[in-house]
Amino acid sequence: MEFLATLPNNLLLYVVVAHALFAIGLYGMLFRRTLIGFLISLELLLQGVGINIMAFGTYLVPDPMQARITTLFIIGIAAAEAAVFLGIAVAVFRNYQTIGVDELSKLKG
Amino acid sequence: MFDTVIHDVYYLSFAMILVLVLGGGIIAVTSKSLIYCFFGLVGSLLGVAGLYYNLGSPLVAVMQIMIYIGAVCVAIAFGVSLTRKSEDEGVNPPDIKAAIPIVLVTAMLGSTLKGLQGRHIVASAHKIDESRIGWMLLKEYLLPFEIISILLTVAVLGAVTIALINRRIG
Repeated sequence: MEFLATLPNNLLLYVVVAHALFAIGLYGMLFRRTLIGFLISLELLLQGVGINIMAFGTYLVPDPMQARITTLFIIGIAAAEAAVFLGIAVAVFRNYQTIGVDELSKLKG
Repeated sequence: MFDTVIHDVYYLSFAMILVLVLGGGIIAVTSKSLIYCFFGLVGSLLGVAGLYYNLGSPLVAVMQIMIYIGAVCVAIAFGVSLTRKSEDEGVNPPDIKAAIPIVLVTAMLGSTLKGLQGRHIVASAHKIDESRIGWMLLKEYLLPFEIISILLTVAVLGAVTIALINRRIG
């Protein structure tokens, strides 16, 4: 019970949750069938990384502001990446009428 | 009496945040329809914002909600509705490949926990003054800040350009 009471302010909990989110995102990357599904899984992966950086930077680093700034940069770069990814997905759908990753095999030998 | 009620509500809300993060993530990668995936992603991102708030950073939590749920998720919703074709959706049935994330992440977690042994916690999440972050962004981190703004402009313009190319291949 004592352990449970300190759980919201415990580094281990955040590390475990971040790794679980990373595993979920990796599973999605392996098993989804569409480009949009890939994008959703990729966002989950980046969330896992962000939680990890915030937790370590908050609990183990003397200056916690560096982790905040790093996480803000990660959020910004993820927004840029999502914009480019969606542009590519729309262009692929226009040209091939599908975004299923198994059908997009034109470059395969 | 009142104090214990406040504490119970706090722990209950924290448990709900954890359920939101992990349950939303699982819905986002396993459900058949992309619309359910989208809402699972929104729930997971909201929960992550709650975790950031609990780590003592309301600023990053608000940024997470504004940028991810306000911008990225709206863009994903447009992407889903522009490229919808329901026979493509769904997930492949689980096979031996499902061992890859489990093994990899278990190894990562094990090595992380091993490295954490003996490190002592130098800070608590509840006593953090965030008012320096603006100064730091405009002093030490000015160059990365400006580069990110240029990157965002270029990425959005590039995405529009790519999406507007209407050339038929094959």
